[in-house]
Amino acid sequence: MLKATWFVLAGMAIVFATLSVLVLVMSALNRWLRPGPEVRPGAGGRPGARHA
Amino acid sequence: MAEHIVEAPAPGKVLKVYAEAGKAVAEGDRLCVLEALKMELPIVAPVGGTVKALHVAPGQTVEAGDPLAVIEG
Amino acid sequence: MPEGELLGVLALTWQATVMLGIGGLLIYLGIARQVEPVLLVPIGMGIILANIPLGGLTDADGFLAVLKRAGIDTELFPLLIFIGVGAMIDFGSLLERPYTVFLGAAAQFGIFGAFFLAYFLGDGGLRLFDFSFEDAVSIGIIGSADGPTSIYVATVLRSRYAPAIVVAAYSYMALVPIIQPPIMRALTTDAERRLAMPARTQKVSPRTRLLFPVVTILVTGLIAPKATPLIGTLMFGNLLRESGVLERLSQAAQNELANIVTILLGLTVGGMMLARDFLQPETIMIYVMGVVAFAVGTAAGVLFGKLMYVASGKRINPLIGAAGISAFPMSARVVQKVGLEANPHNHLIMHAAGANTAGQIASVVAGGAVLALVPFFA
Repeated sequence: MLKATWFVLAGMAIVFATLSVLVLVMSALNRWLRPGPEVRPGAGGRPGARHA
Repeated sequence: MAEHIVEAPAPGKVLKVYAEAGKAVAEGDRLCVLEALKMELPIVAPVGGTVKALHVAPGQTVEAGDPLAVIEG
Repeated sequence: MPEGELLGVLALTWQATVMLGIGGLLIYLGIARQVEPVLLVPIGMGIILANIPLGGLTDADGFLAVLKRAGIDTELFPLLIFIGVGAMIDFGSLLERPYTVFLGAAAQFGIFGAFFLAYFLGDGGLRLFDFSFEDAVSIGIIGSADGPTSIYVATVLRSRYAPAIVVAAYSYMALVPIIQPPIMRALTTDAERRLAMPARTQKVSPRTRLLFPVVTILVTGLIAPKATPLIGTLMFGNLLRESGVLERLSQAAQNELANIVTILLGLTVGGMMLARDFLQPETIMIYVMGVVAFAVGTAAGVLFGKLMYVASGKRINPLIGAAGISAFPMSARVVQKVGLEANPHNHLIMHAAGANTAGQIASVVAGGAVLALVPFFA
């Protein structure tokens, strides 16, 4: 049964690890992809300036 | 006299509206019924008072957080 | 024609008669009681067809045997269904409330709890039942509260209890409104249940929604590669939905594809339930383990919800944890009902839907995790 205990712990660890990474990546992407207008006012009026 | 704005708890469709602008309501009275995820959500008055404004009609779709009614009480 | 193959009545055993009765019961439950009719009616008919003596449907080249070889042994049917499921699910409620992902993860403890108990009753301890390590894992996966995942894992692990496991998984999904509320009430205080949560959330950009299925495939595939077939088909379906330019394919996946494969899968699973395999004490035990799996998953989700209630400074209602077992969308509705009972202003449905869709992904990841781990432990 010790084997079964390790199996349970390893399984739950994989589930939590995978979903944690997924949340981190998605939060980062969501911040990054925030629609332009909210970010732009502070970035000066010139189009394309942000990528220079 | 404080104003209470009743907001939509979920995006969905307005099925029925019980409240009428200008009429009095008691706390817990049904104002309207929303449908979200194929479930009926009864929206009840948070306080007793007068319905100062009513922003919805049956069939209308709403977003979460949209004002449904304003109650002065 | 050899003697004895003429009249089926003469070849009818009591076991086959019981199976015909079970098939009839499932059809009755589906039609008269509306218990998951989409699945129970085809499954019930499959059982009847397979157990009519001398019918030959499950013989080497019989109709049901061919379907089983083509769709179940190859794991094709559950994966095709997942394309349809992915196209049906709106992950917006999850993306708007990213923290609900952890409730979905916590509720997967139901899988492992039921596994532990099944293994203890079987080869791992008491040896009361003929459950190998693989069988115990397959039984535990009932706790994923997801039919396609259950059948996928049980067939990959070659468990001979696969049909009973699938029927148990589908029947308990219909029983979610009965199994969950008592556990939810027992584990929470009235003050916790009354806690209303804000309706407004941060908006998610359409580009995020579009990228979500692709990112999920990459992240899950790279960490738990064995989950790739399931998460890949699920998220492909979701990409059809979110792309905005594939409305036709999205509709086809949700309707035609899902419906056709549901018919075939139901009939085939029913056809796998032959008297000699099904009428065993193990089958009854699998049903008991199924309740354990759903109950433990619900409890784990609610308890993790309580942890988040404290950690968030009493801003998260622990009830939504119960929706972490997938069973979409039944358990989200149960959460809404129990929350509303405690406080008539408390509409938890969208928060619960977040945990619910998280549970859908988490159960697939858990399925991939056990498939990856079994070779190291069994």
